[in-house]
Amino acid sequence: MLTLIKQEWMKALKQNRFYVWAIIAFLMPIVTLVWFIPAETQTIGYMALGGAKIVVAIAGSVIAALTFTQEFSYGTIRPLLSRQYSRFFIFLSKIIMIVCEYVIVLLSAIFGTLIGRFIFQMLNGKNGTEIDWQPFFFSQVMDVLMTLFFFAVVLLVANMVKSSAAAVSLGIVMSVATSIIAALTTFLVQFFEPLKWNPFTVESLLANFDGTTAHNQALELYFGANISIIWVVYLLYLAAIYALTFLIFQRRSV
Amino acid sequence: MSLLELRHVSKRFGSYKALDDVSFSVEPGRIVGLIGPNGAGKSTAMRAMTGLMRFDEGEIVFDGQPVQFSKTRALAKMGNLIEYPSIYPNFTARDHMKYYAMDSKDPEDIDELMALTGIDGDNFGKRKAKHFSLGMKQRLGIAIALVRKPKLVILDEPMNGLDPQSVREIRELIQQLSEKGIAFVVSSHILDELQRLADDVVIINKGQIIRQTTMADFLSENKAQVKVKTSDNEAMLEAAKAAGWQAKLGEDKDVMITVEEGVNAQAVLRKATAEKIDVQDIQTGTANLEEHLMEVLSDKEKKA
Repeated sequence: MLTLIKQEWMKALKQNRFYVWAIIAFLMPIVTLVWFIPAETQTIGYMALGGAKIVVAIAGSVIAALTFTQEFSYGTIRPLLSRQYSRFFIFLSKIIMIVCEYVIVLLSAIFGTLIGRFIFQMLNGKNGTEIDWQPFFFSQVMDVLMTLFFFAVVLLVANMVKSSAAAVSLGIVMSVATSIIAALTTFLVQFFEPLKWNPFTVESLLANFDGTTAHNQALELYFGANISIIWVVYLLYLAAIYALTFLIFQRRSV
Repeated sequence: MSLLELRHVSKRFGSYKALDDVSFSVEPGRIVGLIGPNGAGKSTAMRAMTGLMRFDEGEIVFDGQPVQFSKTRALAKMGNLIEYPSIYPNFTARDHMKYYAMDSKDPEDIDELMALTGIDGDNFGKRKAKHFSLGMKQRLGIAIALVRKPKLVILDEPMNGLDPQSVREIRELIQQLSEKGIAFVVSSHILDELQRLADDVVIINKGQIIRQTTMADFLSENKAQVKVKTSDNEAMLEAAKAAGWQAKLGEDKDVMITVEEGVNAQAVLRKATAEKIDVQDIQTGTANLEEHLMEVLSDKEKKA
């Protein structure tokens, strides 16, 4: 397993896209926080990582989509699978590396945000640049948890169609159109109430989870279930999509 | 005990039988040429051997362990190059070697192997593989197949894209390695090359094994022929047949007469003179894998 992770890491380091996304995620908050976001909205800007959140989400989706599909397009899927390793460990090593790459891009954005804040303070003083660290980090952890859902869907499509273009397109659409999908599914709930448990609605409502009692209560009221049950449902959806993706990967003749 | 054994392996794609009760074996240190026309089942058999494709019936045993789809523990000591060299475009040749060497606790010496396969020169150096020519990729693919110190190497069309000099170098490399005990299963459309390279031959057509024998035995079945061009080839053919010789018209309408005891170029010339037929050209051909393969496949078709 360690060998597989080392090999995936080697592949990641040799891809220009990894550095490009990390650099964009780092520079974007510096530029927006220093030049475009006024003092009175700096705090909101920090939570959005200076606008880099969307970049991080797209980067994650693109990385997830390409990690599998590029093996097909390069033809390297054959040497990859005709080795002594089980397909489960090959699959797992790829998922681990996708999450690692995503977290590194996210850390670049966080680091860029902090640098942007520092430069802003140097230029404009500290007024309005306070960060409430607990919600700030809570928000980033929630992003990682929610992005696992994007990855799951993107990986499922990538393994079904073996097409980088389709998977990347879906990843980008998923990254920017979550609110549209959520609004659509929520609209449909009024016609058939059990639809509220569809994975997109569960994911989109949990994405705003901030750990406060008020928000917990709102979620519990909407779903008519305890918050822990909502989390369990979300995790079950994740497990089911990853399991289905693995089954497709595991059964594929190449 | 055989290093690799396929026992009654069958594979269907819908109603099409890609492999039909395929059985053959590979001994250590032997070079086996897997030959047959396009769509015969060569690549399918190779994919089954390397655990890349599930098969419906039969079993494949490599080095005493079963090779099964997606359960490929047995494959640690098998190298392969199936259909085309698979490369990571952003890796250099050395990156590829390092990457695949990680799979083995005791890999080949990378520098030595790169020198042996000719991928250590300036052309390779720090260049990314996306800039390699097909021939360079092919050499790299062969080096990758060898890096884990395999006991068996499966090469599907390894000579594709190589210039004559490279073909010769790769042939010599394979022969050197087979002398050290490494077995090879090689498929190639360049049958002349395979004739020089392989110790054994496995002929496959329409998913069925038609013959497994040594290359020497297979070629000995293909007797030399006298090819004669005359002023009246039809008359020459009749005369040859009347003399009890095996004769036929070739593709270019010349008369092809099989060399046997008492039947050679001199006898053919005497016969032509006796029949008052002018001989314009006469040649004696040697045993040829391609011709014999065609004959074998054509005989099989007729019997079917």
